[in-house]
Amino acid sequence: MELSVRNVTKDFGGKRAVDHVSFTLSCGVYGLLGPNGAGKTTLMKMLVDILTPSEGEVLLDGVNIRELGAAYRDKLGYMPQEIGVYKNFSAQKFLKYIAALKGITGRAADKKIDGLLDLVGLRDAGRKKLGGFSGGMLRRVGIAQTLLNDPKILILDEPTAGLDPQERIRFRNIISELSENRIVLLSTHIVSDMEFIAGEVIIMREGGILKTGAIDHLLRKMEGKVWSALVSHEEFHRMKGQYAIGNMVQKNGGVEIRVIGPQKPPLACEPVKPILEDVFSYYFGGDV
Amino acid sequence: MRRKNDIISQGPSKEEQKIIAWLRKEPVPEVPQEEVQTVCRTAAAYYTRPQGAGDAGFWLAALSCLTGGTALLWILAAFLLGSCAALSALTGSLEAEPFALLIALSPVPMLSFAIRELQYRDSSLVQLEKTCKYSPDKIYFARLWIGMAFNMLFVALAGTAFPRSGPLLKLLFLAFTAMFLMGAAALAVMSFLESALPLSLMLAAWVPGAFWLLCQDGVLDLLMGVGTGILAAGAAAGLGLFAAAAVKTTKRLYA
Repeated sequence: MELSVRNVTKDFGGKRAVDHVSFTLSCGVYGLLGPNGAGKTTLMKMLVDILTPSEGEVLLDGVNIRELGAAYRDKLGYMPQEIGVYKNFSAQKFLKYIAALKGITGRAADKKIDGLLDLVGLRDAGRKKLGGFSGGMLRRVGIAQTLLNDPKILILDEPTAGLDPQERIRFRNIISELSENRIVLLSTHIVSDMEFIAGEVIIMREGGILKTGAIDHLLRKMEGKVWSALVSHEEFHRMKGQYAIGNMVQKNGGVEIRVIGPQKPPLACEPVKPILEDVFSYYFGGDV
Repeated sequence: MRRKNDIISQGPSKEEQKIIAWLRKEPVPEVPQEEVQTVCRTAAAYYTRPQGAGDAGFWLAALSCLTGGTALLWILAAFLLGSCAALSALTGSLEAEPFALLIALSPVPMLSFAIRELQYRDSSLVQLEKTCKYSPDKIYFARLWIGMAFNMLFVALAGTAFPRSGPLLKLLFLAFTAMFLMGAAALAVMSFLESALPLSLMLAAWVPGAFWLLCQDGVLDLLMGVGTGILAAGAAAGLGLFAAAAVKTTKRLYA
């Protein structure tokens, strides 16, 4: 199974949100990274056929997803950034409604819903009204609805936003279990989540693709470009304009920083093992 | 056209023999086994399952999407119509003309359904619905017709129970016309305002207003004096309007 994005562009009036993007996804977990306004959500909406590209096409195994229509949607699980729900519905009832729209009804739907509520840790809250759910609980309902039809293609827009650390770990494990024989594309602002879940990343900037590749490969390429240094506050402010700064921690009256750049900065520092956040800082610098 | 069994018993037809002979003459490129299998798997996965409104699963999905609350509203509406009919039949002393009551109450189930549909509508949910197998616009359209069909059933059943001062057919045509026209008006309001409040006001104004009007001296006599054919044509025109409004509203709500 291959999901190909060919030369896809999306314009909103005079503004270009996605600019001639092309890539191909086969089974595996892919992360979509980029600052706000990079075009991630617009791209995802075109992948799930909510938005029509202004140019280009999205193909599943060589067939345009618009032509496939219901057959494509039957294979799809989508979690939008903002989850809309019927607030007067219980979680169970809402999932039953979405299951019906996905063509799953009767006992098969009930069984699936019970299993999914268990999976996302909402079994006890299944009969409660969604209007009283917290943001994290709603996202868990969102994750459950995504999996109702046992989708072969999962498109998840910010799935971990609002989840507490325990829920994030649970979610990461669910995705890891599901990744076999499926295409999973997810975007998140929590770069460390991406490092745990995704095998490859697609980095977007201003509507275009800046970089794609396996996380291991990107990290290897960053070796020798990340340093750790303990600097004074004055030095830190001076460096901020000159270097991409990753993590910073207040320590011993100074600031411990991760400096990212092609060359060693002119101060006492040690090379450290790069992490995905450093890759992000390297490409986006001040945008982060 | 020949059946499958005929082909087995009689062998290939003349046209098929021509194609076979042509294929034997023309060089056919060799395709690796794996490629053939991939194409077959793809075709099998995509094209062997029904995908449209002709699919029984679609109607099952549309019915499943009707919530318990909607069903409850319909039961309440049916109960209301049934109670009025029974009360009117048993006592025979209801001041109100049962005929007028039925016509005034006939659009209640449909309007209640429309109000409920809008009350909990969420635009971000529409995006989610659009990614499901069955298009939400088609499901919504189907639900409107299921709602109308139930409404017609309730009115027809209540109509048979009411004591009548005229033929049943005329009564039903009049009630159906009121139902279709009010349904079309409700959908038009939904399409432009996307709010449940105007619909609730419409419903609140319609029932007493229509009832009062129909109870005025001579109004019902005037209506009963109209020929059955003209009343049937009026109902058909109302149905046409409702259908057009349903198409337009669905398109607008799910654009």
